[in-house]
Amino acid sequence: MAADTPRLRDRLAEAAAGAAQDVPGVAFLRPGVVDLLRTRVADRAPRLAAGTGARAQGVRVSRDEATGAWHIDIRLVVHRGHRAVDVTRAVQTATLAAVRDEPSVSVRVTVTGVV
Amino acid sequence: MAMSANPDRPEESRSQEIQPEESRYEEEERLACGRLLSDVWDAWDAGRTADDPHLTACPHCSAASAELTGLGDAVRRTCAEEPGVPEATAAAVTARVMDLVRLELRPGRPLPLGEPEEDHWIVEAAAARLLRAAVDALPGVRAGSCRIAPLDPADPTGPVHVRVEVVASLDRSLPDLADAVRARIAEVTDRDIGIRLGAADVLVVDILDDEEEDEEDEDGDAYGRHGTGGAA
Repeated sequence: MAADTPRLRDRLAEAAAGAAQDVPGVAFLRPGVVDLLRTRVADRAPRLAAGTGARAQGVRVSRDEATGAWHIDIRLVVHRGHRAVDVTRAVQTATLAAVRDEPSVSVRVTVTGVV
Repeated sequence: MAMSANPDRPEESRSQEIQPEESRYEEEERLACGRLLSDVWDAWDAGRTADDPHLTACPHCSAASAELTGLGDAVRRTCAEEPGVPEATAAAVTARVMDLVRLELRPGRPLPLGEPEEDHWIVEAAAARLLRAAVDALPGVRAGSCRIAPLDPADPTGPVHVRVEVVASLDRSLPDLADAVRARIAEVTDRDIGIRLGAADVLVVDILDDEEEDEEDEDGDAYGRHGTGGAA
């Protein structure tokens, strides 16, 4: 069970990223500095950079060890002309649908920019 | 499904004591001269540093801009020292790193989108950019600094307080102009963003003199204050 957690976390991150990216109004998920460094490492040592990878940039998945509940934190940039809160609501709905096999998931969506 | 209304990022709330949002952001962003670092960087990014004499005269503001330039130079140098990296790639990497550093370090406070029980946020810088652009598009108005914060600092998921500085022409009375700006802010916060507006302050900090008239120093102070605290 414990050994599967990192793999499950990556799967959830990829599912969330894929779902969020397809929502109209989402320009791109925002990569953080950590993602950037991972990309940099990937050039030299692909083995070390295995994990959530490029597809899950802008998504962080954590787990409450006490309850087993997952928390997905999504940061994204929206296109101008789309109402920000409508985009975040659609992202939340799409993300929850993409990870519906997990019984307890909460999603936070943060708009970090508008282009 | 648990829906947390806690605006702290998960990794921070686990690794350190939760601080009130207000004090944390205020401590991070304000320079010794009272200016906000994010405003100084915004002006530098937009090439508007020269528009504000304070930014070049003030040692704190010019040091902050110089730090940003220095960081960009350091990244460029590092790229140049890497063998086999074409110049175009190095420039692209530098630009990307600088963008990320700005976003990562100074996104501004998160503001609540939608209803209080929703865990949806927009960083202040993004919302402020939309409001500034909307106010700027009004005739006879140029938008300056725009700050957005919770109306009640103890309630980070509550309605927000917008404070925008404008430079205005004298084509109409300043109270009328302030009303027009507030109406525009109310429209954009609801229709384009989805943040709940509690109050909007419009500060007329200067007069647009498109005919080179020196109108602003008649009373020795061009800092007019209009519409404080009005709910828009």
